[in-house]
Amino acid sequence: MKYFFKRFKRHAAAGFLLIMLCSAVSVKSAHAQGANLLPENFDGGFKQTKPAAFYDQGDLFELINGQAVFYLSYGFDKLEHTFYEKAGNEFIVDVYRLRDTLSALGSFRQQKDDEAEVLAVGTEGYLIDYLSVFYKDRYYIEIIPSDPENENNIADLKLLAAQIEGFIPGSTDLPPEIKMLPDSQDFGMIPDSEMYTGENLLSYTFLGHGLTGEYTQKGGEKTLKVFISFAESADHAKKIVAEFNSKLESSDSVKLTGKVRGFKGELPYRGNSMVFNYKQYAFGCLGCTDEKGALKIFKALLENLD
Amino acid sequence: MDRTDRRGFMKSGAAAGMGIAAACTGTKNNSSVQKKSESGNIRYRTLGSTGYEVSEIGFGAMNTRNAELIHAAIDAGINYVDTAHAYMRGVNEEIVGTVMKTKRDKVFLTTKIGVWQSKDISGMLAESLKRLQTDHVDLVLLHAVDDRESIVSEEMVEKFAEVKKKGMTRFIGVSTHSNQSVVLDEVTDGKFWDAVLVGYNYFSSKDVSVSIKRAREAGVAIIGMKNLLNPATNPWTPLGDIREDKSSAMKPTQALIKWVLEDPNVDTTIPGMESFEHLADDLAVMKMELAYDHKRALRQYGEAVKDHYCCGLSGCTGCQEKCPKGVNVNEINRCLGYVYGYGNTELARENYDRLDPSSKLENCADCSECSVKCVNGLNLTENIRLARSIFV
Repeated sequence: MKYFFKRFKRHAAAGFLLIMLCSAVSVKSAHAQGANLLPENFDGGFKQTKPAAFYDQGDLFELINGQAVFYLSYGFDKLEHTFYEKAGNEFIVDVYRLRDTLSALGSFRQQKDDEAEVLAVGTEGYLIDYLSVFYKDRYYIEIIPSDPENENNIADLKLLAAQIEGFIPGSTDLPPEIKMLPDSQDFGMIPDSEMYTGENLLSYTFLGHGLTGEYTQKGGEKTLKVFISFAESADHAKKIVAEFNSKLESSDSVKLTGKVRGFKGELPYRGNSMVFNYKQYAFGCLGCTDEKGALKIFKALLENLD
Repeated sequence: MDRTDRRGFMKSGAAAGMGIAAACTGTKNNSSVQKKSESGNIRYRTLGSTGYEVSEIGFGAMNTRNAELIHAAIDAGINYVDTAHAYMRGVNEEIVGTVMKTKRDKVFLTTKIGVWQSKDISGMLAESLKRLQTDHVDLVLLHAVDDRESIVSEEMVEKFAEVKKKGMTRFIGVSTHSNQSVVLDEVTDGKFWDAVLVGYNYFSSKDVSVSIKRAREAGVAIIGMKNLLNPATNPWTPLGDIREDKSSAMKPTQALIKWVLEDPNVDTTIPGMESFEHLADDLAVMKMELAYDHKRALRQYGEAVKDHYCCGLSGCTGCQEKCPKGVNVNEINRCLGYVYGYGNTELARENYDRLDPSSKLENCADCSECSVKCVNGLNLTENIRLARSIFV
C-alpha cells in the first residue's frame, strides 16, 4: 500500500496553478467547514467573497492535479483556500499546512523566484506583481490576484500579506535543521542555498528525505553539492550508504575521522562523489573537484550532527 | 540500479539514440497511421499526424527537480519531454532548459500555456522559450481546457495560429482534465489542433476511450496522462497482490501504465519521474508484456473497486448538486473512498464531519432509488446506503 501511494504520487501527470481554479471552489463549498485560520475581512477593504474551502491529502489532486504531488512530498495535510475581493480585484489566498517548518522551507525555496522583490513578511517572503509568497512555521502561503496586471497589485499584496501573517500561528525562525550544513564563509556556502527535499533526495528514492547545500569550490565551474539524508535509524543510514556506494564507479574507501569512513567514486551524471554515515545520517557530496575542501566541510558537518 | 544495470542502461541508451536523431531532427512521416518501432529497449510510436516517432513513455517533468535525471532519460532513449509554463512557477521549465541547452535536437519538447494565461499566448510562450533555452518547442498545449468554447473561439485560434506561424512551435494542442470527451470531440471535428493531452487510465469511462479512438483516427496525436489512480478513492489491495506475488516481474504500477499502452490509439504517455528508480521502472515497462496473470489481477482490481470508484479525481462533477435534498453525493463518495481505499474509517469520519450540515446524509430521504445518477454507472443508491450505515 505504501509503495502504491508513493508511486501514485509521482505519477500524476499534468497539473496547473491554483490561480485558474477559482471555479473549482464553487463545487467544494460543502467541504468548507474546517477551522479557519483567516478572518472574513482584512483592513484596507479586503472582503471574503465566499466561505473558505478546505482540501486534504485525498482531494488536493482535484484542485491542482499533478502539482499535488509536490506538496504531498512535503507532508501536506490541509489547504485553506480563500478568496478576498477589493475594488473588483479578487485575491486567492492559499494556506498549505505541511509536515514542519523544514517542509515549508523546502516548498518555498523549490519554487522561489530569485529575481523577485524581497518581502519582509514571514520567515522568507517575496513579491512580484502577480504573486506574493512566504512561509511561517509549518505553513506555506500564496496570494494571487485574479488580475495580474492591476496597477494596485503590489501595494495590495503587501498590505494583505502583512495582515495574513498575523493570523498564521507559530514562529518565523528558520528551521534549526539547516544549521547542520556548515555555513561559515570559510567553507564557501552559497547564501540561502540550503534546500530540504521531502522525498527522492537528489532524485534517488533510496535517499529518502534530507538537506542539500551548495558550496563554491576550487578547480571547478560547478558548485559542490553537499547532502544529508535523514535515515530512520543508524542501520538504515548504513544501508543507504551501501546503496549509494553500489552506484559509484571505481569506488574507493575514504577516511573522514578515525571512526567515520566512507566511499568515493564517480556517480553517473553527478561527477566525483563521496558518502559517509554517522548515527542516523548518511551524508556526502556530488560534483566534487576539491576533495580536501570537501572533507573540511564534512568535519564541520560531523560536529553539527552531534 | 547497480553497476551492471548502469552499463546495460547506457548501452540501451546509445542504441536508442540513433532512433531519436531520426525522429527529432525534422524527418517526418506524413501518414497519420500509427507505426511502432523499436530501438534498444525503447519502443516508439508515431505521434498523430505530426509524423514524429516518440517513445511510448515520455518524460513527465512536472515535479522533477534534477536536470541529471532528464539527461539520463534522454540518454536511455526517451525522446518526449513534457513541462508547462506554470510548473513550479517557471522553475520546472528552467530545469528542463538546462538539459535542452545540449539535447534539444534529441527530444520532442512540449510545454503548456494555461487557459488562465491565454490573454497573451505569444508573450507567455516567448517567456517559456527563454526558460527552455530554445527558439521553439515542438508542441504547445492550451493547458487545462474543460469546455469547447475555449478551443473554438476565434480569438484563441488566431493566437495559436500566430505562434505557429512565427515558428515558436511546430504543433499546437490542448490538455484536458475534465469534460474530456467533449474537448476531444471538438478537437477532432474542428481540425485545427494537432494533439490532445488527456487523463487516461484503467478506470476511464468508455466515452473517453471512444473519443480518443475517434480523435486518433482523424490524425490527432494522443498523449495519455494520469495513468495511475488516486488511492484515496480506489482500494489498491487487489492490485497490490501483483506486487506481493514475487513471481511477477511486473509491478502493479507498471501494469497500470502498460494497460494504457495496450490501447493503440495512445501515442505516448507522460508518467511523472522524480527519481532514477522511477525512470528504471518506466523504461522497463515498454518491453514488458501484459501477461494473463496481470490482466486477471487488473480485472480483479476492477471488480473490487467498481462499485466505489469515483471519477471525481479526473474532474467529474456529474453528481454535483443533483440531489433535491441537498445531499452532497460527490463528497460522500469521497469519504467512502477513505473507508475502502485506505481502510481508514477515522479519516473518513473526520472528512464527513466537515461537511456542511445541510449536505449531510441526515437530509437524505432514503429514496428507493437514488435520484442522483452517476454518469459512469456507479451504484449511488448502494453507496449512499453504505455511507448511511457508516456515518449516520
